[in-house]
Amino acid sequence: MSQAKENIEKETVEKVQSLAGEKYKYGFSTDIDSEKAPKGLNEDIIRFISAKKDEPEWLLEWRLDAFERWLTMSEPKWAMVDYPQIDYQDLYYYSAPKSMDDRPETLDEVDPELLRTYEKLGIPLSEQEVLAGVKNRVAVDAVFDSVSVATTFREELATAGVIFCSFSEAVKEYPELVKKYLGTVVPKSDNYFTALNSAVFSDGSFVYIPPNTRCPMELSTYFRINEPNTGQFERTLLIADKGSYVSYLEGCTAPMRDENQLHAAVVELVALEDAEIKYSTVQNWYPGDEEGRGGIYNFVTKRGDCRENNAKISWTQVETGSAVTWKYPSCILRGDNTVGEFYSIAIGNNYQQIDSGTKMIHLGKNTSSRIISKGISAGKSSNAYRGQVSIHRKADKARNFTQCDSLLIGDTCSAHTVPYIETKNPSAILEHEATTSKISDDQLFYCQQRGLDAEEAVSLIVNGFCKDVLQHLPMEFAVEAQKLVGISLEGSVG
Amino acid sequence: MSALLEIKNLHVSVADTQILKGLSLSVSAGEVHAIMGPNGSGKSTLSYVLAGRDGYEITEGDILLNGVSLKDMNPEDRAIAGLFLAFQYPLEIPGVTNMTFLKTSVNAVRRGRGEEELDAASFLRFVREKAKALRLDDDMLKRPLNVGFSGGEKKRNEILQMSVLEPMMAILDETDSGLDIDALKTVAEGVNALRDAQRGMLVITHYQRLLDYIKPDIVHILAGGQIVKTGSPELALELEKSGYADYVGEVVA
Amino acid sequence: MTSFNHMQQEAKEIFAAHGWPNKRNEDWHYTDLSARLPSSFQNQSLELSEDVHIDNLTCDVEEALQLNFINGLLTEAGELPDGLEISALIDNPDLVQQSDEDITDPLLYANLAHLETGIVIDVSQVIEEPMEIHFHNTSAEEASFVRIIFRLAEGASLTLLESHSGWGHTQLVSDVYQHEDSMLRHLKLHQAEDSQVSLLLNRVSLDARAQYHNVAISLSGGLGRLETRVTFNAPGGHAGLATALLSGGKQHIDITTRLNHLSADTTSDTVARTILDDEACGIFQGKVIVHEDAQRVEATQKSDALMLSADAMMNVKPELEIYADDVACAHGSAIGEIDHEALFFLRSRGIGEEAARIMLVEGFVSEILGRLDDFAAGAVLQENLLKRVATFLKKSA
Repeated sequence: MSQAKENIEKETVEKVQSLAGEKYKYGFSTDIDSEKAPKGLNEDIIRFISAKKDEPEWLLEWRLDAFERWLTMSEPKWAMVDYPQIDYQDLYYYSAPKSMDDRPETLDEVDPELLRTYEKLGIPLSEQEVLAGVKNRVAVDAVFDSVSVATTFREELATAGVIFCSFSEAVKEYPELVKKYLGTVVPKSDNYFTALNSAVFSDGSFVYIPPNTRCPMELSTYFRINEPNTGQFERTLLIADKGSYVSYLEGCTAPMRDENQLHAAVVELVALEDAEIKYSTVQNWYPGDEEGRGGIYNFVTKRGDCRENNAKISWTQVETGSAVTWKYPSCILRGDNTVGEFYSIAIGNNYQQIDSGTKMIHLGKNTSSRIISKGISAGKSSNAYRGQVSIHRKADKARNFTQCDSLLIGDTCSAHTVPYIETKNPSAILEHEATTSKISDDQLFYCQQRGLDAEEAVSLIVNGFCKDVLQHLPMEFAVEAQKLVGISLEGSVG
Repeated sequence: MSALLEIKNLHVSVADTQILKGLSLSVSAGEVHAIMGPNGSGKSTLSYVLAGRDGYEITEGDILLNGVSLKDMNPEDRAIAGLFLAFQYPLEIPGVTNMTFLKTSVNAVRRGRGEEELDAASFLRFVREKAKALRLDDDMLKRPLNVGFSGGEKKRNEILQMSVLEPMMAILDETDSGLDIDALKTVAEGVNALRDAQRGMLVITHYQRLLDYIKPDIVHILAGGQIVKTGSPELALELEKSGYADYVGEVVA
Repeated sequence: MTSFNHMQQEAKEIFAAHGWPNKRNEDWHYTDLSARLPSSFQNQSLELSEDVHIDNLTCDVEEALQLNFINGLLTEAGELPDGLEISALIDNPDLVQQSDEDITDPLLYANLAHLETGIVIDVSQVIEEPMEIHFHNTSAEEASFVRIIFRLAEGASLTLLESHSGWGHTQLVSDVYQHEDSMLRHLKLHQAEDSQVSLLLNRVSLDARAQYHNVAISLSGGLGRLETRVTFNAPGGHAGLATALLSGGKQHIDITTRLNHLSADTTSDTVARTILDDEACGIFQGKVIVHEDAQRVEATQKSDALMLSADAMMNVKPELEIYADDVACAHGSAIGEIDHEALFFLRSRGIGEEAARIMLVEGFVSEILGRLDDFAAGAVLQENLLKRVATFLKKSA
């Protein structure tokens, strides 16, 4: 019996380890003429990016100020990730398909090569296709390297008063909104990577939902890194005005390359009174191959501000990609009765390193937060949950529930849990639970006895392990994510 | 003779929502009354307000035990005055053994009633005898209060508390919930053993089943925060057949 | 071999260069020593003051062995039973520096730099009598720096009661080496004056099947760090760490534990219960590390805190760092105020509000105190302790 168990276990581990880079089906690259800024980072590059985007003076000043601060800062070292020193002068900070020099007015004017890329990625950019097809309607902003190539359903959204466009356009068309909210949730010098992003950010999405409006469809941004040696520094700003609701999805992929590539994004969410923002991410940047070559360095700062009473912000993330992930989508619960949620699945395989989690900062009364984190480690990966729950003095009757579970597959990976729980208010109730375990042999054996092979069994069990998080994704995404969970661990199931 | 428990035109609100809207009822010594009602009719509110839980505001009316108003009394003084509530969901208190709890409680009540406190040895004898009658073994007295107790054990433990505190008036809140038939019988036996000419009981329940084992003298129907019908035990049987729909409708109309 | 004096000189230089850690040091994130402690200590006694009254925990325990450190100096020890020997650390310099930790860890280099008394206690068999080591400073100007090394031979066992009182600054490093099948029961009572700084570091190294049971109770003091690090070297080792922290006033008490499972088939169980009143600040930092190949490790950590006052503060950081897959590790933490429903339940049974509160708070720490049942002289000890706990509760209720 125990021999049998050992065999099953061995088989599982081998199956999981056999998972190689070629399972990454988004690993192709697009051959397209690009226009790049020269390599390296200095004031001139920043002026180049700003000029390229025809930005107003205040934004250029803003960037230069961020750059100045960045020069005085150093890379954070506290995360449980280990990567070679990044040479910030050996990167391109701006790259755009040449055909995007004048932004096409309609989809017909977009370079067909670009359209084919998105088609291959399964991202619908044609509205008609979407309308005719079985898929739910989702408005998409497609960001290719440093620029947005297309944003769909803009007109229909506009009739509802919803603004959904690329960040660059927003700067031109809605400067007051951008000026009012930019950097108010994530200050320029919040950390090393936000300062860098603030200096060189290229494009990203801008969303504004007017008061008492339920956004008529899901909004999504699809990020694609294509050019080698190019950093992607996108910036997303989403404002939900009083009483509004929006569900926003974000997906990311990149070609397979042997060099590591840098991605340092900033996402700012602002929820005003009674507003609700649901923000979902499926992060599937290229994770590197089975030897740990290549892959994206993903240093992301995401933060939501429940600025007024009764606001709610919910983060859901499925993190399967990137060689290194450093990411902590957080909520500032400023208004009374505000709610923050963080649901996360983080899967590491091969040599992936993940240090991810959240911060819930309770400032207002009757604020509540909920954290469910599921970490899965396989291969030689390392997976850390790092989270902070902080109850400030005036946050009467604050509530937090945290659960972080880690699952280990094989004996060469690792799982870590680093929670910080801080309270200065006695009426707060905080509960935290964490477990670390492996897939039980009994569970596996049971599934196999019922006819599932080891791969299927692992996929089934892991999906069950993640269920509490998967159910928080929008329906269509959930199905994708479920498949991704299977694929990133096993390769054959799905 | 005046009633043992008299509830007069009781209006109660919880967080500014009116739950009880003029409930009147009186129980004389020796009587067992049943209150039946659908979910949301105010049954739990009634039991909590009788026992003096915070957050239940009496906006009008009064509760008298032996002619004395309970309105401004805190929970412990009501217990000393002779009111006992068997909780629907007895609390688990880790780290406090059942025995320590019972002894503290019995002696606090005895002290309050001007009776002599029991020393350790006589208390042990006293509680063991009562526990035995309820088929609660010694082990359960040593364990932390209600921690890890089964549903049946928790309810029997409630009845044990009732038997050692010797109240004048006992309120049983959904004592049947979560019990299988055997556990229900044991609990009912315990309750019946405590029936006597001096003691009043108010049995609050959703289902008629409990009343097969604890036979009431009078049955009231509570709906929409008021007693909408009072009658003989047969009323409970009728209700079992026809359901609460009629009464709920009545109040809404 | 490096001489003791040479090592101490080195430690002095390191301390002069690096001083106390600040909160940028992750291990001291919640307790910034550099902001709170002086960079040098002038008034170290060289002589014992006479006639100091020591309120020993074991005053009523017959046959208890008592070692008293007054202002960092050991008063005359009574006669020792067979199987127990005390020698000077200065004669065993190889026990002073064993790893890098000894020169990089602030608690260790600071202790060595200022060390007044260092002793080695060898336990070669089962010792029936409990041994109490009491540390007392007679004034706010006194600073004591003591290091004690315990060596338990194969199969040996000891019940150790470590107690702290008085003023000033106390810094103790106790290193415990437990050989196969040995057992140490270690009770730590921290009950000092509200100006005392107590930095108590306890390092334990466990060989096969060695058992270490620790119960730490902190009832008073000023700034305190009670840190325990256990290393499991071989299968069968077990450590149980139970801490009850009852803090009031402006106390700042930091409980830090690190369970380092180097070997497979080892188990640990950490429980901390914290009660905070007034403006007290409580900290629990617990870390479980399961190394590669340390399969079948079971490690649980539980930290609960009860907040009795609006000005109290609690920080918790329970970490898991796991490099082996066949493990069962868990931690849980709950922070809240007194359960109002439970309070109502008790009051509905005739128990007055104050008594009900005391009962709930006592219940909250009883799991820790209950562990004293296993200690030799348990009953007397427990009663002495309960009296002290009751005094705290009465004040808080």
